[in-house]
Amino acid sequence: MTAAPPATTTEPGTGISSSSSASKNLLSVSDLTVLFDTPVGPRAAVDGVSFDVRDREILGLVGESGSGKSVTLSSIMGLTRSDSARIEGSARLGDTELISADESTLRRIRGKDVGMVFQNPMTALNPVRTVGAQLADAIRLHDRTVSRAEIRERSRDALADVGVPAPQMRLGQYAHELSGGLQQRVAIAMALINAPGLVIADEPTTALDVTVQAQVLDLLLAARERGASVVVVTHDLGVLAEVADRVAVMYAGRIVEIGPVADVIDHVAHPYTAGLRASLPRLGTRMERLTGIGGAPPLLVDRPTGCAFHPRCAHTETVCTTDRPELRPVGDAHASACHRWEVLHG
Amino acid sequence: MTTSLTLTAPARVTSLRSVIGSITRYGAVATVSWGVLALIVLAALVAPLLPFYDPYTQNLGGAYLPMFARADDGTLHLLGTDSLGVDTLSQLLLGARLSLVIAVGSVLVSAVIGVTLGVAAGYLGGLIDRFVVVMIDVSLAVPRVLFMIPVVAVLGSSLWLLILLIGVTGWVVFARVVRTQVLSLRRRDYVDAAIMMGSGHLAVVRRHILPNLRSSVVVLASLDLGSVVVMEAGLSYLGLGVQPPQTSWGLMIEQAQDYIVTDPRLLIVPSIALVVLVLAINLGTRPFTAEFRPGRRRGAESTVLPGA
Repeated sequence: MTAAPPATTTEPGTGISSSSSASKNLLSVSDLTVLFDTPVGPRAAVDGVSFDVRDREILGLVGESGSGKSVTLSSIMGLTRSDSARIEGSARLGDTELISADESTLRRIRGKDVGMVFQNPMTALNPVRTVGAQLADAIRLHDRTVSRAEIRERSRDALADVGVPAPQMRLGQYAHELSGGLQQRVAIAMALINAPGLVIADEPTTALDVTVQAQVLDLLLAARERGASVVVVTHDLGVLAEVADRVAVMYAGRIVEIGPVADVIDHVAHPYTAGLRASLPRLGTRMERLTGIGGAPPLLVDRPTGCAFHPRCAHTETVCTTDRPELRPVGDAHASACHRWEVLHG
Repeated sequence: MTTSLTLTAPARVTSLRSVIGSITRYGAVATVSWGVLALIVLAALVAPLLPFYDPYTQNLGGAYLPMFARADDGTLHLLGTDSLGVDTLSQLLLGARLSLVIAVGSVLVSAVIGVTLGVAAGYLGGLIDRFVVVMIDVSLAVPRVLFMIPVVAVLGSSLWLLILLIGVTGWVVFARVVRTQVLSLRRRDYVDAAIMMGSGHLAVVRRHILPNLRSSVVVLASLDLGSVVVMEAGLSYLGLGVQPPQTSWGLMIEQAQDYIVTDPRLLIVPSIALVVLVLAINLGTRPFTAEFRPGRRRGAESTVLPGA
């Protein structure tokens, strides 16, 4: 089935699309809303999120736990399987609308056009099946005609590509026989084995130690070199500073700031991003204690009025408690959803 | 510790020594249990070929013979004879055949039904899950024997009916455990990863859910095997199971109770056989709990052992 439903009336982005003329968009998410049934009625875990992923770009999605980063991506790929979730809006991958796509369309896209790397490599690999068997699955799911020898060869090459030593031997091993770093390499090899155009990495470095983190980030950069676009979800702004081209900061289910990584880090235009940046530990500067962001992210069932961040914000004014700020351009390709961004903007 | 083992490709098991090695590595208890099980199965299989095997001929003149006694016609009865003069050892072997067939058959039936319903409920959720849960509750509320008595009364007793009845009423054990395991398994990252690779649901179940259920299903089956042998004995004891001149260990025990004072041997022999079989099954399958779970050292305590 070639299901390409007619383009729904989608909003043309929010002020930041003006500068996207330079390169083509691979993935276009617009006004994505994910509603979960809660005891007090449906609540939006993702609330009108729009962003684009351009060709050969690494986009970072950053935010605290519960800010909606992972839900955003799993909804796009149809992984949010819950009877109590409702997904609205649009996500177009090339010519295919993903949100309304049927299961067989999604199945064809997953693994072939989009590869996904999960947070915890220990749980992303099946403990009772060998690495080789799982890599073979990934190949055979999208090409039933490949021979066994071909599968072996491609699996071996895929492992070699991500720097797994002795790839031939690894094919017969189980996940528990590998170190955490090797497990994540295998998981990445599995996501990349069909050379997908889009790679989604959901906190790929969180479960790894720092040296391995850098190696995994290099793999994402290498994937981009081979022509893929990458979406990296993380709560670590430092990770994004290293690899991302653009960053989208999420808070309470909305994108509060989006822009090129240098702009977002050097010319912060949202107090939440400023808080994230301030809470990064820095080598070489001795701090008495790390600066955190006071308070906690709001509950799904109890979102503040106006700007969701205002109870934790140092710059709150009356307008912040009543009007919800929309994303507005604050610079070239840089947008912020803050009433008082000028106060911060340096 | 065993890094050198894991780093080399596993050698194909060829030599006799490695065969013995792969059997005995589960420890003395399991090895002995398997030996006993093999012996019982072998004895049951080859029984008709044995020279003394004659579980049907009655000889009223040679009833209640003690062990190692010879009848008038000179036949040696290693375990003596029963109230009708039938050779007890032959009966024991005949009983082993039926007890084993019924045990294995009904556990298979239970496992197939239980795993199917458990996976369906746990994986699909929703209405199907609710339906299965209600079925489980109902099944648990109704005693198995209470369900079997009227069915056997109406349809009459037969081997296949017995297997079917015990099997059909025993699925709950499997369904309950499998369902809860699948509930957690389907939320594992590697299930999401498989779906993200383009797997359909059937492939996910076959490649990722079922292999992970293997260890617990084997454990459940082994526990169930023991209890089914006892249940068959109980049913035969109630007169609902195997009917004479066929016999099972349960039926032998039932028939022996009339002579418990005059000739306790008739009770003790099949009882010991039953205990040995059930023990061998339970002790012999114990190592699988740890063994089927990669990453766990053998001998590690199992966490899935449910109450029998």
